[in-house]
Amino acid sequence: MIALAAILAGILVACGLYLMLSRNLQRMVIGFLLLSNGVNLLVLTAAGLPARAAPPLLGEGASGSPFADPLAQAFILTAIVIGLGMAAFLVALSTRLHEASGRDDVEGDDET
Amino acid sequence: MHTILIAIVAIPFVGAAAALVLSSRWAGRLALLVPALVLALSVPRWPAAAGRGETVLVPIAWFPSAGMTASLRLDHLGAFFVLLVAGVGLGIVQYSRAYLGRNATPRFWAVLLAFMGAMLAIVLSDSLLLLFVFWELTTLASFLLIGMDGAAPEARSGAIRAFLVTGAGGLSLLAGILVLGQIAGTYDLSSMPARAERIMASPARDVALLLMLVGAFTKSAQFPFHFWLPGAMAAPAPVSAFLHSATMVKAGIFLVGRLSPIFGASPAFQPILLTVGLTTFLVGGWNAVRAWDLKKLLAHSTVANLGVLTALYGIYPPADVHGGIVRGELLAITSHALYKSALFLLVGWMEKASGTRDLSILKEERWFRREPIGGVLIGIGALTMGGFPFVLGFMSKEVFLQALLDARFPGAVAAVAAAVLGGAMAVVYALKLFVSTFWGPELPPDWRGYPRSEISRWLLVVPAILLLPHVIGGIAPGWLLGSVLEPGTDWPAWFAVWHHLDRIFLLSVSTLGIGIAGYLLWRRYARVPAQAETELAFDRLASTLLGASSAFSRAAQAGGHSRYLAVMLLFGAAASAAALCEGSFPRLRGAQTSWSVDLLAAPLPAAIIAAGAVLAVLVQDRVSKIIFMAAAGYGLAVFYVLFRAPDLVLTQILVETVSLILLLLVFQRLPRLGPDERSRGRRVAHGFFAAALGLGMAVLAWASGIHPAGHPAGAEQLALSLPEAKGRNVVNVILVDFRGADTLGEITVLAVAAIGVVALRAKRARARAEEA
Amino acid sequence: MNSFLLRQVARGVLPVAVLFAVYLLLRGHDAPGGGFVAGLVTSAAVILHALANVAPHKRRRRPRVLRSVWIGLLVAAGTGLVAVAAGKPFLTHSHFDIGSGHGALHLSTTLLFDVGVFLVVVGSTITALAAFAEEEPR
Repeated sequence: MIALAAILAGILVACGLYLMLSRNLQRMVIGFLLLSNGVNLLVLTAAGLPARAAPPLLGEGASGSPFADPLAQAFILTAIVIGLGMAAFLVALSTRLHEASGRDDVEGDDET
Repeated sequence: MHTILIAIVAIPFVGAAAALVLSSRWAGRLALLVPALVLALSVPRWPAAAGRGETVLVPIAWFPSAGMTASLRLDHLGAFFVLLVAGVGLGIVQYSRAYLGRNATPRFWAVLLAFMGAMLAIVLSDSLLLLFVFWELTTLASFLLIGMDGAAPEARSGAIRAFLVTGAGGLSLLAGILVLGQIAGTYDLSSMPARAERIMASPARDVALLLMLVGAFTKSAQFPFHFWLPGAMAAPAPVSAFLHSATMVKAGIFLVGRLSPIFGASPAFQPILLTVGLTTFLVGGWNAVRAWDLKKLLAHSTVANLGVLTALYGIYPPADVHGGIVRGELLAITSHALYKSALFLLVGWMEKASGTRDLSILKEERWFRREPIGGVLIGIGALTMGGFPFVLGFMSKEVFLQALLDARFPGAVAAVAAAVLGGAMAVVYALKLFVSTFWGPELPPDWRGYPRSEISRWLLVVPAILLLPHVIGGIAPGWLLGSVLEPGTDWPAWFAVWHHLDRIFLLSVSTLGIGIAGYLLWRRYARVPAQAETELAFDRLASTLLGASSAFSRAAQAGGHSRYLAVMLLFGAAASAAALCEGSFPRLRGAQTSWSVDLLAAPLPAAIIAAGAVLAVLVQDRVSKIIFMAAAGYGLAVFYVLFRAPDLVLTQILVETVSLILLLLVFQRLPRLGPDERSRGRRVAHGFFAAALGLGMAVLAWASGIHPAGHPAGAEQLALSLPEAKGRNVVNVILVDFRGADTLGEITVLAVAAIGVVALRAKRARARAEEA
Repeated sequence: MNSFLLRQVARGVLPVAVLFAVYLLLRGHDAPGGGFVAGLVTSAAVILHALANVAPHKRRRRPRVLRSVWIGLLVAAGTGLVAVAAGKPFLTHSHFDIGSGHGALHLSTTLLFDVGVFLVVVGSTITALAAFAEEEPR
């Protein structure tokens, strides 16, 4: 399970990065969203998960089964929302750039 | 009592804020009120603090969980500095009102008052961290005040030099404070002496000591950091008098005093202070002998004096240091602060009245004949600077010599010789000033300054008041010391204006004699020198550094975000790889196996995520791209179910929906996506790079995921959630309670992002309205 | 996106969604939910409503939701400052129980903090999307 999640996080990060390396703004935005999902999964995976874990919701009595790590979940929860905020800002920047210059890609070194 | 200490620190800052909104005239009046208030609050505390040695501690919590406090403390040393800062400050403010006139903007008053507040806070801080904060604030204030006349290149370079040197020293101080705090387990000065054994036992002790001393030495212009102080003389006269002779440069001395009860037992402590102090004494003295610009002369002699103050802490054995004060220290500081600030103020007056501060010109014109009052005042200041009898400077010098003679350490003879030589140089430059004040060839005057009627009397009254204690102390030193400065300490018989023939007397006389001989030699052979070498060397160093850093920026910031991304990610990857190698997989304990149920449920969302991500890269049509990306996101939401994260499931679904709408809404305004603009080779390179990093991330996630942490941070929060925060959803409890400050920061980021979007769009709307 | 069916659905969904969001917000301390989730539910519903219902000529009206961002930040920071005023560290929460036993009403400043989070999330997402939506596509 951890291995599967790790592989998925790797795929999301790789695909997101590949798109982000493009100079095209639309590809960058999509890449950014994929990348942030990948990083969220990465953090969650890295926190580990005990066998037969229960969600971090405390019941009335002790059930005996371990809980999933709540700290990682709290981190990721805010990270998801902030990712949305960042994406919105990125999109606003790209439309603004498009309006100002008529282009939808950023300038840069062409061959490195 | 508690309120009084807080008020002493707060009043100047309140005044500074108020000065900004007042007219410059009223800001000046307000500035006069501030030190007067501080004096009124602190003078009644002096007998208790100095005589009975009472210490008032005001504990203030700052960040208790990190062991950080903002506690204040008033003791003998602190109270002395409060009086010094407020007392000299009062005179300085009145002088500035008269001297600067219209040039004193509200901003000037605000910075001056803020400096005063920062200085008071430094000497009242019990917490080293609080001390550091205000330490840096004084650096900043000094920068702003030196560079007040931003149009003058001399002011600009002087301000930058002072800022770089003292700022770097401040960073060193911070590092030292952190090391010391880690060793001692506290940042509170008052609890440090009790833990001296623990500090002494640590191997990092001397690292902390050295780092903190570098901070103190830069601030107090000790060799080899002394060169910034003469450059700071581009500041107006009252600023030089206040910051660069009376108070700010004494902050380093104050810090050494605070450190001496903690580090006194360290074998490195005293030799460093003594060596650095005496070297500074000699270097400063030699530079002052060579100087022609009166302000530079005073600045170099300040450097020399600061060297003496530092050296005093290196002489007495730790047992003789009571409350961070060595015998004669307060006398020496008082003496220097008063006469040197008075001299700076007098030079300010002179520059106004004569139009120059070049000693060679003044000397030739016998200028002081026409200004007898100013001449006499400068004469008194010069005498005490040279350590002549019947003024306080004499006493100060004798105390220093006596300390050296009493001390038992290797190389004591060399130290005494250095003291005599330095004292002789002080005599030389004092005579330079004194003699040119009263004697010299008579030349027709060349009137360059303002007419006398336009110069305020305060420009002479304030220095006269500052010099008054010198005359009193010169005639009745026992009274000044015994009942005012250090009540309760008994002073030996030699401490008087006139005493019988003994070693000190002989040393004093020989110092005077060598000095006078030196002066005669100087008269014969003196030449007007070029700019001091160290300054040039430093400026070269600074410009080399700046050049190197801009070359580095050009190389690293070549434009093109893909390169930036690659650099940042490579560093991140290297750091993660280092962390992985550190662990090197020795303990494959507790790898989890029992996942049978979930493993059956996992493949479908996993396939959706993987396919979505890959297809989002491969397809060309942008709507399909967005849909595939969203599919991967929704798949992830299902995956969060398997990770037992109900809150994440909800959040992920909602965010994915909103971002889907956002992209569909916005992308229709952008041009259609063409084929990937990257060349084939670049695509391969980028793909390889991305795949490698993805693989690395996967390994990182896997490696740390299968090694459960020994003490997961969440475990404590799980245990505390119900009893302390009364919540059953631990994720939410963490968000709103345990890590509430983080969440506050995060919603602030969200708010800033939203405002940024609005701002970017609003510009567009305005542009459209203008078109229409 | 201005079809009749969508309009009717959105009209029905909005109040239900807002009620649901309030429910999520209130129970967030003990069960899945909380300010972030509730805020996102509300804004998703509002966006759906806006996309379906707002006729093109009405889109020029700039929504004033940005204000809720400020109010939210103030509320969240304010709850922290209450503790400071009481002499405790910033963001120390207090809890009160009204009544006792199973039907006791539990009140705490954590809920207020979550309301602040809710307001910021609602305000910023709607503001950002509205900033894009108010212009006509070319």
